[in-house]
Amino acid sequence: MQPLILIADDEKTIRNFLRVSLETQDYKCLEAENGGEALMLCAANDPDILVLDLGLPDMDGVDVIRELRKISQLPILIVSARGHDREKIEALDAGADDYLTKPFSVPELLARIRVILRRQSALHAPDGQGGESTAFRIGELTVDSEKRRVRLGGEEVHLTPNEYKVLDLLIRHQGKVLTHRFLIENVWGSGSPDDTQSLRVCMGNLRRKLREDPAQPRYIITEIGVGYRLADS
Amino acid sequence: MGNRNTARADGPADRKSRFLAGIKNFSLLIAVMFACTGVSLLLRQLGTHETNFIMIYLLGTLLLSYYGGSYLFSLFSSLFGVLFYNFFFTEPYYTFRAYSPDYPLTFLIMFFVGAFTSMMTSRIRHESVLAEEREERIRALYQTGRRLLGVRSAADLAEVSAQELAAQLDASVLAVFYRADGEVQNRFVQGEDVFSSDRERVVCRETYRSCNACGRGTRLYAGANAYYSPVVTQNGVSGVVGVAPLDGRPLTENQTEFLNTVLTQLAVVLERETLYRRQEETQTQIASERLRSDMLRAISHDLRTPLTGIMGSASTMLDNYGQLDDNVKKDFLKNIYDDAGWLSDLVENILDMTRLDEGRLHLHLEEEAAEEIVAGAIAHVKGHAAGHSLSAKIPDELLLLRADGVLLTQVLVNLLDNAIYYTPEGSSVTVLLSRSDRDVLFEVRDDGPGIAEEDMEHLFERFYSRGTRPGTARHGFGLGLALCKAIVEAHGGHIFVRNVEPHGTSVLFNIPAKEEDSSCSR
Repeated sequence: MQPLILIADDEKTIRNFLRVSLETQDYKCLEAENGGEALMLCAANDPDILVLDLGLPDMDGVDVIRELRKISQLPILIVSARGHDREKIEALDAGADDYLTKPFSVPELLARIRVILRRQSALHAPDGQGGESTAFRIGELTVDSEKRRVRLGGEEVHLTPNEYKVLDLLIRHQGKVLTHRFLIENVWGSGSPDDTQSLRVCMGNLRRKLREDPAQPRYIITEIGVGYRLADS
Repeated sequence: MGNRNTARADGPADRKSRFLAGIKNFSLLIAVMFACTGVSLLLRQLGTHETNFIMIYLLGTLLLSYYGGSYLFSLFSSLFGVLFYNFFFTEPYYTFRAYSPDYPLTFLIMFFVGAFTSMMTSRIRHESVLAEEREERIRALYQTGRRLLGVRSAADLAEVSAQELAAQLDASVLAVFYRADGEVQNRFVQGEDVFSSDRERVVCRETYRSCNACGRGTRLYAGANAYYSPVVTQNGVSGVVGVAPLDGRPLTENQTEFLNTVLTQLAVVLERETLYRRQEETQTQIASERLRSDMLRAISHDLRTPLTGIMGSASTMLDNYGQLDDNVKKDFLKNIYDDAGWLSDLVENILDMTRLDEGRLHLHLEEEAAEEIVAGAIAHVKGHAAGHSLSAKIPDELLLLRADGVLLTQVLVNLLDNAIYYTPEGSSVTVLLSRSDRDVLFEVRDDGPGIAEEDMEHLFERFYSRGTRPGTARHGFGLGLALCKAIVEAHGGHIFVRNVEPHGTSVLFNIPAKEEDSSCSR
């Protein structure tokens, strides 16, 4: 079945090229030009992904996400102008999955959509086909979440409990950007400024243990000023 | 200045002290008269002429009036002079009678001469005292004025004026200045703080509100600890000064006058401050206006070139869609895409630049790992650096800094873009990260042709750009490096450019490091 993608953007040109690019990839598209319409179409058509511009004329994009999260868990990919970092982080904390900064390239958008769809299909996969498998694999990295064992190319990697928690969170939300706040709250359980530093140090150590090239990481991607994500392949 | 003039004082205690002073003066008068009599008796033994005695009494009267002061006292002393003379030296001796018919006239003349001269003397004396006082007051005012002239801020002004007034008036002094919206801007107390109780604050407020002196010695709130007077400028009341003399008496007229003069000076200084601030604001505004128009000019010039390319390519394609072959169309589209990408980078820099220029530099400081910033920048430029070999050298140690990650990434992106842009394909560009002492050092190094000497010193000027690369004519925008410099300096760092051997350019900047003190397993 073709995935259904809802595009919510008030700019017709952007909707147009998005629709054309998406349709060439065999996705079905719906268009909404404001927040109200987007909410209505979501409720009526149950799309697989919502591509949401944060700067809609009628509603605050973050409110759209909050409204939507009351009725649905559908993946949301937000699009925002640069310089609106706070808004972006708010949207991610409100439940958006990923973001793109305007101007973005179409291949980038398509890549993000593919990751989200892949994650969705893994989540909805019938039991026994991977949904139950506790081993996660990316590149040379294998993580067995049942035994809490991390291997890198066959060699065992020893992580501290917090390092493991961070890695585990990233894996469980693959394809999603995890904000600093989300990580800190879920690993350290608080939000004091000291913990930002703990998070940096933890990430630094984790990367070294995973033998990442710090300049061009394979596994953990930094979203400057926003958070972290796990690489998608 | 002390409490020299006590004319206004009239409590029971004052009456008593005046009475005592009268007794003292009177005793002195009698003593001087007896002394004159003694001297005259001595002279009579020596056979001196009688008229000299009159002179001696007149001399006594003069001395007394020089010492004593008031006109009444002068009258008394000359009257006593006459009486003593009459009693001791006119026949019959030791009575108040006089035989000779000349004497009444002599007495009268003696009385008037004595009274007149001693009044004159006491007046001269009084005036010289006044002159001294005035001089002292002028000196005090001059000193205060000179200190006020040196004041640089409203906070200083409160402190200096309170100190000066406290010293000159021998009192505890409060100086409060208000902002235009009525909020307290500066408050300073010199001496004992008797101004902070609720009642005193109410009196102070009332003074501010009503623009009239309140408190001690006035009709409003006479029970307050201090006398409060408003500082009135052209824009209304700008402050209040409260004075609580140490000896607990109300201020004298002279002191009030002095206070008022100083308050006027304060008002002038305050106005000067306001004007100065306003002028400075205007100047900043003018400078930033000029900057903005410079920038607009530079931007519009540099926007036009790629826009022309985009519009030209697009319209050519629209008009001749059927005739053009697919390769040409693809070429056109690629040009459009490249130009648009370049415009997009430009817009990013402009956004950051305006953020820095408006004097409202909001660095969003956070703990950042230097390597993440390098990685972010490399990820950003990787897409259009296909012809260059891009690498990074990152130390094992995790370098933390307190910085605006987004802006620092932008700095590195600009430097990398420059390196990629100004070096021929096949060159290598390296980011080196290291720690030196208390700084984190970022270096972007290429092995291109380097920078010409004459360009070196202009590199960071806002709209300067190195000569265009052969074959392209559009990239004339030097905003990038100026922006980098501004961002790095806002972080407390510096940026340097130099050529390296055998050839190539190195741009180096430092950002203060954050001491590492916590770890993941905490």
